[in-house]
Amino acid sequence: MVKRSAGLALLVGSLLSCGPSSDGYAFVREEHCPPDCDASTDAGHDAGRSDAGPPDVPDEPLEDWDLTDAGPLTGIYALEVAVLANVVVDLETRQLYRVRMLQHGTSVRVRLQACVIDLASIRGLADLHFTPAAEGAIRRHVIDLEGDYLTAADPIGATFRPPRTFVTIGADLAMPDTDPLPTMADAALALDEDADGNPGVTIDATAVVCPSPEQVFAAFRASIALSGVVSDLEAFDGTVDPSIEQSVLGYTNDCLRVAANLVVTIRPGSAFHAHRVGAAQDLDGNGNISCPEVAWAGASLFGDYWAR
Amino acid sequence: MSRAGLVALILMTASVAHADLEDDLGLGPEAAALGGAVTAVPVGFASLHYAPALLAYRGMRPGGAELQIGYVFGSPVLHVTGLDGAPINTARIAETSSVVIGARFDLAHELGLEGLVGAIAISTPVSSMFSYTVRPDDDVQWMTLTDGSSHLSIEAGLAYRPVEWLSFGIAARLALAVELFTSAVVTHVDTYVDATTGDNIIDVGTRIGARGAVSARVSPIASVAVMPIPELRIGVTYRGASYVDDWGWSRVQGVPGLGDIGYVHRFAHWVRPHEVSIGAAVRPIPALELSADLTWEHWAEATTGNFDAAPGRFGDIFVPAVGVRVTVIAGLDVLAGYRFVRAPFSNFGGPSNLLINDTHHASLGLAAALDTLTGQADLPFTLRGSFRLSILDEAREEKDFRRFRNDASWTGNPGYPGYVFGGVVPSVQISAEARW
Repeated sequence: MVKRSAGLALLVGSLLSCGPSSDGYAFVREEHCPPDCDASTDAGHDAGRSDAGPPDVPDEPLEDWDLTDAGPLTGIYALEVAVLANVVVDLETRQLYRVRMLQHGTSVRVRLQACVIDLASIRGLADLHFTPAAEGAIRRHVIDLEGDYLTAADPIGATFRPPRTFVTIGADLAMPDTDPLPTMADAALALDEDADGNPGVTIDATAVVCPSPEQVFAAFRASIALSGVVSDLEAFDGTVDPSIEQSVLGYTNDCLRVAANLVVTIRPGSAFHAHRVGAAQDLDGNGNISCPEVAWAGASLFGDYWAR
Repeated sequence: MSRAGLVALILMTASVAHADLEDDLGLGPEAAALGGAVTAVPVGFASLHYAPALLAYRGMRPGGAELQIGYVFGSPVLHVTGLDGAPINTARIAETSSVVIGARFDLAHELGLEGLVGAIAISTPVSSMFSYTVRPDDDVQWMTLTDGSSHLSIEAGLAYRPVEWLSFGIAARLALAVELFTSAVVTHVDTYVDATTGDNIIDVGTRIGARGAVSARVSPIASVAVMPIPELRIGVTYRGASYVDDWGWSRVQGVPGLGDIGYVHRFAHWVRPHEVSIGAAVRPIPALELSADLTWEHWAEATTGNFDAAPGRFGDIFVPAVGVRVTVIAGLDVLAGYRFVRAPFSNFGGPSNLLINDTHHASLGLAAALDTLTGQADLPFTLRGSFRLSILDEAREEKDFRRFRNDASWTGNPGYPGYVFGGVVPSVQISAEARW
């Protein structure tokens, strides 16, 4: 009798417990920062661009430069570069830099740091973005320059023209400015800068030809040659002669094969806008405006493009 | 009105069938009224789907034939309400209105094999032979109650009873698969700024061609029935998965700078998964027949319409069903049934928003054999009617940030932050059967 009851209970239990089970449906993350959260106090967030809230600001003190007799151009600027390009169709892509300058007469010491490099995307067809880890790797590239980059000691009305500067990402080259980038066929010199186990740096790719979000692994070399008249010490504009080279080192789905072979060509007319930043952008109040703060301030300084 | 005119009128008023007729509403009023607990109960031509072996049941009238014409009407009354109390719009939930025609005929005389019976059934949306709609899985949509798979259904089969107490049956269910290939040759690419909106416009001129094909896809049904005494039947039925593919490619040729680009699409329209039913029916007294079924449905292998296997979200289910037939007077039967179907799919707080509930089906029906009832042998007709109320247990879905790659996709999901959903689906069926 007991056995019969147990069997009946097992049968009823089986009937009630059948159906879908979430055991086979894995979570994709454990933490996040929901709307209205304060990322500085809420430990849970994925630090992606899409998260709401201000960014995490690493503890990066201001460079210890000797400011004695520094000229009026001295300070930190957020620099937006708008690159006109063609990838099948004409499009515009933008980059944000942190530029710290120390002026003595016509001589300017410049520290240039890429904060955000937007990739050439065709919205709705192919959206490409560096992963948060790749953006972190890009921000570790710091370029120092010093020379007579002003045409006059009084910066107002003078032309600011530093030499062309190169940033090479995802490759370990002996001559970073000129050596060929690694390729999918020869990836020996590829460098896993974002430490995710894949060559180069990783790009999140959402393309209409792919059924789900995928990733591309690539190396890049970008350069900019700035030239502009300092019309105002708070903000000034100029022209840019940019270049972009990219080499795809791999992808997670063959659906990206065609997209990986896209060639980016630069069109004439690229420009830059420089805007001095200060206390209003200093989220952590340490006297330094670091890259995450420049990126966070992009929308207020340069418009809705950076609010996306 | 002539009989042909009556049929034409019924066909004109029928529109697209929506929910899976055989399993969700019942094929014919008799099966519907008994809650689908008919794996061991002969239900005329409809046994094609539930137990083809019972096309040749013990005690059947030798040499006979039956033709049945029926009509099904179902009108879902459903709701999806956001957690804030506001209704959430879903794709249009249409009524089910369909015609079912079935015939069962003894082939013993024609083929010289005693105990051989054939049958055929057609249930059809009249406005089109099939109509498949696929929406993104994150669209809030009823999984089985809209036009995801409204389709023509044809079933045909044979049964053979070599000895009085044992019969075998096989049947095939036909569905239609689709292939579609679209090609476009680029004639020009221009970019300009829209004067009104200021948006950048990419104007691509193409010359388009298309090639399509429709092909049949057959799924098998097989069953065995054991009838040791006239008052007891036991049956087992296997039904093969019934779904169709919809696939092809779209290709754009001669894109400047790219050459050819395109994509392959593949959709799946699931009707039913593999199923195994076991059932028993007993007649303890002549005026009473009781039946019970248990069906295992292998939903774990199903996919969404977008061919996503959705790991963990589909699961196998067991479906219990019971039925009772009471002969009130000779020629007049009252039927009743109950069936419980657990939801085979759950979104589990993830990006998809496919709605399907645990469902209780309760049903009632009548069957009147006019010749027996009136004592007039020249009225060999049976009229049947059924009413089924399908009650969808209200379910709650709450979007879980852990199932989204970032907050933007979480808060931007059409079902965010969550919703409750449920309702009822009343349906009626009527049929007229003529016997020879």
